[in-house]
Amino acid sequence: MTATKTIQRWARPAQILMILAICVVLVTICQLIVFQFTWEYTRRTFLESQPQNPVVSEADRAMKEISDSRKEFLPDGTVLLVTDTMEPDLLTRAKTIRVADANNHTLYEGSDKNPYSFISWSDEGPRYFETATSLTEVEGYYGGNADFSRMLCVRTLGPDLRWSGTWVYDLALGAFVGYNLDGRVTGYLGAQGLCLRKQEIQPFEKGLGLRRAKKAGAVNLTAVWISAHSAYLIDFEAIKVRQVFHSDDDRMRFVQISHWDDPNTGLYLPILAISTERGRGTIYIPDPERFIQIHVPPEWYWAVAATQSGVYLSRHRIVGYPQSHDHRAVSQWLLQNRYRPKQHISQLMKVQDDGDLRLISSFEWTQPGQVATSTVAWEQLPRWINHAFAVVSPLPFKYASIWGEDMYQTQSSKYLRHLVKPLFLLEIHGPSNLVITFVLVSLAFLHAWPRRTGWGWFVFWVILVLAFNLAGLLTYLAMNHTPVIRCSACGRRRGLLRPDCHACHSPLPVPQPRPTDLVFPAV
Amino acid sequence: MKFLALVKKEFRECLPWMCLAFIIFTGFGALLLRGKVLYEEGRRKEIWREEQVVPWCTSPISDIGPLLLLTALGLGLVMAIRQFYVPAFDKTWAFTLHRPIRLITAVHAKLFVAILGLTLSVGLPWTGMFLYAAIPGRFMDPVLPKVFWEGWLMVGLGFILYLGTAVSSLCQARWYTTKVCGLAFAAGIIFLAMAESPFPAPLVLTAIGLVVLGIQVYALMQSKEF
Amino acid sequence: MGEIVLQTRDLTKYYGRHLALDHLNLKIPKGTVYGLLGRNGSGKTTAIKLLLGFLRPTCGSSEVLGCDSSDLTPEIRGRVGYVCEGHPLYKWMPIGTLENFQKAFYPDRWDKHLFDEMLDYFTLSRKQRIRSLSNGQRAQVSLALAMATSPDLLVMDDPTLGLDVVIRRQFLQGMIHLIQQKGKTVLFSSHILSDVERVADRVAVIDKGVLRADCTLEQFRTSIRKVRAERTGSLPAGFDLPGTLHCRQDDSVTEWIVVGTTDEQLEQAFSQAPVKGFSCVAMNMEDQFIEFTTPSGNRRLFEWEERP
Repeated sequence: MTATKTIQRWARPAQILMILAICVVLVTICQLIVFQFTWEYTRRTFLESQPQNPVVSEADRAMKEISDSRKEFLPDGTVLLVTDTMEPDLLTRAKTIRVADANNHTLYEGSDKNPYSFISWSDEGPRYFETATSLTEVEGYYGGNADFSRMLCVRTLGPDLRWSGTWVYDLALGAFVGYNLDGRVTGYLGAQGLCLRKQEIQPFEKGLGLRRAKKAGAVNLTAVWISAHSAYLIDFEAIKVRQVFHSDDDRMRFVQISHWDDPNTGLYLPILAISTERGRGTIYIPDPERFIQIHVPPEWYWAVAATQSGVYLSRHRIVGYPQSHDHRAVSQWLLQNRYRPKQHISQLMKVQDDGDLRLISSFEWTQPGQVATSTVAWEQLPRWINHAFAVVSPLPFKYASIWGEDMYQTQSSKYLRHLVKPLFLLEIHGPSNLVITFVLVSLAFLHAWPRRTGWGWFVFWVILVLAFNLAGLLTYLAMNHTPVIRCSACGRRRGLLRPDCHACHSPLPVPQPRPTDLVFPAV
Repeated sequence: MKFLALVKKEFRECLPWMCLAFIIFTGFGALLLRGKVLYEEGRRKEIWREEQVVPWCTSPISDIGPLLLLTALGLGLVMAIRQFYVPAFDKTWAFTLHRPIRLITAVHAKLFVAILGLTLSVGLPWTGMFLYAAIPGRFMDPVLPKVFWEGWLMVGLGFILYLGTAVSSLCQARWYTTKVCGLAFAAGIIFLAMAESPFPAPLVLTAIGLVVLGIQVYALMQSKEF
Repeated sequence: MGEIVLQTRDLTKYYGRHLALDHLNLKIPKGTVYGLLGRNGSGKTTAIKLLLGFLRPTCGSSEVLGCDSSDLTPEIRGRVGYVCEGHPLYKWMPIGTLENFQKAFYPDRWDKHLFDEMLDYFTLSRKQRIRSLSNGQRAQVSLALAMATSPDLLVMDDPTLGLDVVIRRQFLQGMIHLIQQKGKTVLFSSHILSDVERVADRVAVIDKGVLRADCTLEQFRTSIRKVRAERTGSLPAGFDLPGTLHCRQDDSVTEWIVVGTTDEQLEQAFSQAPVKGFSCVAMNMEDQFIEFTTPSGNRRLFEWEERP
């Protein structure tokens, strides 16, 4: 009996939870549909109303040309402006470029095999996964195909360039497990290097990214394992692991890789550049091996290049750009400054052996503000669209928007990202939402009053509608099918779930016996 | 003996569907697996340099995944309809329940047969296929043990759909109100579990679905009017 | 009359806003054969389902063998045999398998000899599947399954619905067999009043959810009478017989349907009336039931047929 009573006690809350979840999803889907339709209509209407070919002044055109070009440095600090004039196609035409000086005077125009030797900078290199959530394809089901989880594999080749084995990243162990072609385990590759027993494994910190850093001439891969506080070079040729960076109190911001697989090894040295959120930077050059610690303020974006004559650093920033790289602050700043001109600074520096940076040259230019006709920003949405979306939003959406924004930034699933975007970009709560909430609560109150069987559930339903708005009201109506009749004593509506009228407490009317009834009970 | 009689009756009613699911899953699954083995044999003879990092390398047994999920879901759905919807259609509820048993015994018999059916028709063949694939040397890529548990979790999702369908079948509301909520909730759980959520999220979701829907099945049977 | 096997107290059931059963108060003593009568939609099946715990009452309560209907224990259910309306059985099962299934639940009470005898009597084979049986044969199997469990109480909801006269007679004979065993109680609802007349000790009539009659069969038969009087003149305004259900008249004759009116009351009433004489016309039970459950002023079907 106890189990039965327990089940009965929890059945209604379980049902409420289930129906509420469904109603919230349904209401949200309807809101998103309304939003998409109104957004599309507004966008078309706005764009059609804008002048198609706005007049641009000569000075603006020149500013735009400078802004659109790539800023390339020569080793002596000269700045050159490079613009791609023709993109290559599949058949004949090669890429052509235009090279200009800092004042935008053309110096060269022709093939991209130009006479100027710009410094070739490190970049982020080929990535195999970027954020922790990309590992979800390894950690969880592969939703796209309703399939099992994937494996993060690095295949190795033998001297004959044939496949000799596979290293598979094991989430539980936090290390790579080696398998030969017969499927047998050949070893474990963790933070400490190769070991043959599981007990000896020192796991990698959970990965944020994996980058390719394959050495020139090597048959097998060298990869950079990037976690929140460390970076490792994993050499799958020599089966070795080298920790190139670690910080207990600082978090990784980016890792750049340069010229590891470059046939022109005489000109540039392979290099790893690691930056943290506090601006600490480490430059790692493997051959000969050295580490150079530098400091670059967090608001700067930078890249390095190492040649036989020294290590160069280029850095770039936009004046006024938020110092922290918090995506909310960045999104907000970009929105506010979308149509304003922005001041850019690019600098070429030389890195000393002790990590000091010596400025060689600096170039400033202005990026013109975006033309309003090119797109419709969120803030141009008429307020009524905002209302149409937000008017029936439940209160928890306000808190879900914070989670939604994080998920938008980190979720690898495109459809989930698109789904949650309006949640945090639109204003969820406003006066119209409060008015609608009041109306819905009133409706629920009027409906529940004659049907109430006790104060507990009555108050619960009112609070549910208050918190969840339309979804709450739908849940209440779905759960509360109590029929009502007119009380024969007082004439008010009363529910049938309770034995007496809630107003006058009279029971259900007893049928009047007729004189022709033949009721003579046996006992 | 009473419980056994109920189990036998439920089992016999669901037997054709279990057999069908077994045949479909084992038949097609074996074909897929055999095809994969033949492909591997051909691959071994001619292995060339490939893109070395394969971040989303599929398990050799991954072709079985969608088949396993669909079979489990299909069997769960059909068994629930047979056990909970057809008696209302046939009006045999009263005949089934008016006997010297507790109502909960009848529920247990149905759930037991559902679990047994999913295990025998889908779970055990899956185990056999996994063991076959996991023999060292069968495939060049390793077959990881966690894939085995992921497969069983898919069988669990089939049970979730079974419970959701049972809730919908037992619900006495109209179809355009809350009758489909059980099915919709189960579908939502399955969608979220499969939507690239890192483990143990699918496990937690399955557990939540089991608790929410399981409680409702019991409660609906106890409060339902037949 | 001793132990009460079935009892209801103000048993009420609403389907939505529709009142199906209204404050039913019934007591069925042990050893009685109770016929539950009523028109379509009067609430008979609702009452039976409430008694057996398949429906939840809106208010009121009911008890079966001393146990609350909404919480019948397995032991009590084991003592109650139930034959549902329409005789729904598992279509895929052969009779033999169905027997084994039923037997498993009543290991101590199962009367194999009775079941075999009934199958033999109804000329049914154990290998026949239920889906291949006719309605009548299914009814026979249903009755055999219910009776072979040796129930203390047998509840049947319109068991002879759709059966031909031969099968119905066989069914009733099976019921009589059960009745003849001491201490068995039968509650059955039916539209076939001749069947009720053959076997019932007491009848209960439910009309629009309200219990209108709960008496012995003899009381029912003797209480409802048709009185015919030949008029010599117009009846005085407001003239009516005590216990009148309906009154109809044509040019010279007036008929009353009265309930519970004695001969003395009739004589006293007619002594003041301009009538040549009065007589009580014999009614069969079907006529009595029709008159008892027809609302007054109800237009008769095909009224145009009565015009000259």
